[in-house]
Amino acid sequence: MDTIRERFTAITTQLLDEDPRLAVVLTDISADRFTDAARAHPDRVINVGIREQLLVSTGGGLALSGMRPIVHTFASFLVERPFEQVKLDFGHQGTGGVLVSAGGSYDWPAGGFTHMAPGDVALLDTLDGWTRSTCRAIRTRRRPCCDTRRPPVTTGSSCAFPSSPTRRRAPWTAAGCTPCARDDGASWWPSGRCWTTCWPPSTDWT
Amino acid sequence: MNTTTLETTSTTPSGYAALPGLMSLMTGDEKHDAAATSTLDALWVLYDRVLRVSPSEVDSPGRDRFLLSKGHGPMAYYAVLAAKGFPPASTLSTFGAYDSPLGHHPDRTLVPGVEIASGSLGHGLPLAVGAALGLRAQRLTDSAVWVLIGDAELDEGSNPEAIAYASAAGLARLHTPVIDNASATHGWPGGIASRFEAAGWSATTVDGRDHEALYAAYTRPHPDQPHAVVARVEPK
Repeated sequence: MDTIRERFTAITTQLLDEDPRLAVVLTDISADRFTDAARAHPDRVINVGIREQLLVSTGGGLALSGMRPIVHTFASFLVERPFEQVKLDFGHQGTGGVLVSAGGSYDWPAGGFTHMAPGDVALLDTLDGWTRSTCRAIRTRRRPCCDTRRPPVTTGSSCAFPSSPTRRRAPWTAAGCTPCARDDGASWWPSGRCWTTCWPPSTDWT
Repeated sequence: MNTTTLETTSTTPSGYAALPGLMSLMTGDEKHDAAATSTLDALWVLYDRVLRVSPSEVDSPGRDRFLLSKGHGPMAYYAVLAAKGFPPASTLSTFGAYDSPLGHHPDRTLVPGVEIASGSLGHGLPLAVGAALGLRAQRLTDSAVWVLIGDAELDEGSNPEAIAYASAAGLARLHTPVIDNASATHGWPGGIASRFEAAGWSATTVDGRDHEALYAAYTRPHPDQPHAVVARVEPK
């Protein structure tokens, strides 16, 4: 059986084929799992090297340009380390993106405290519009979908649009804020902000 | 909250000579010190002669993007935007007031023509990297991305992350004016331009008050490389 991380990379690779607006941003982590995708989509599989501030900000800039970014690294380096980038480069800009961690807050105890993220969930709860979901959406091959009109029930994932009355301007291109709607994958991508921890217990860490 | 998004107007005074008057609407002063105007000439030449963006194009996918990363002290920025017809001059007098869209740090969701909400230093250049990547992925390669930073802002570690990666990624449509008013506490030995050049950028240093020099620097060819223009102004 595929591990969740394998499933994440396989489905994301498939989605890169299907949606020309999707981009994946990496900091070396999991880059070896996206080599085929990077060959097929060199402009949309973006590995910035070991630079977590740039990781999140690049996702934010992609969203401003009308792309739909997936931002991915180990849990401990996705929210806690670049938290101000999460706070300002998505939410304060009124844009959305999907943060996907490899591993959850405590999923690698043998890795020690450097690889735990005890505050990531609590930190996200301090920000508007972020929806937290688990890997169940990915494991079941259902898209993590963000739709305020019809929150998906079966995927275990939902997402809210920015609710502030001042958040009226569209992202840089109008297409960038097209809401996702459907579980069939035809038009699924969220314009809200989502964080997904892609790591239930598994032996496949690296 | 009754904050309203500004609409554009055609009655705003325009031209470089109008800028001090427009700034006075915000500051109440007839004269402005060097710190308040450190970005003024660099911004004016960009908006007047380089950027392909107008009030009717603020949501056009193919427009040029200008990101003000150094978001504090935005009076010169607001004045230039007003002179070019983005927010109306009449609202400049509300600067910093309750319910004004013109805050002490710009907010892209409130002010037409403002591409990013800034104020915390070190966010603009990394965001610009993402924007340049996104435009390239969408084949919007005519669109240039400009991001203005300050010499003290360069202290933020997020900037070296972006500088190193931008050249590796060959982001030739990325441009970074750096306003150098010698305000970085520990300075930049060897000069700021050399830091960009060492990272693989095209870079040049000019008098930040000389409009022709700024224009020449902005428009210097830089195939396959991002481009930095260090604009020196009076020390803070």
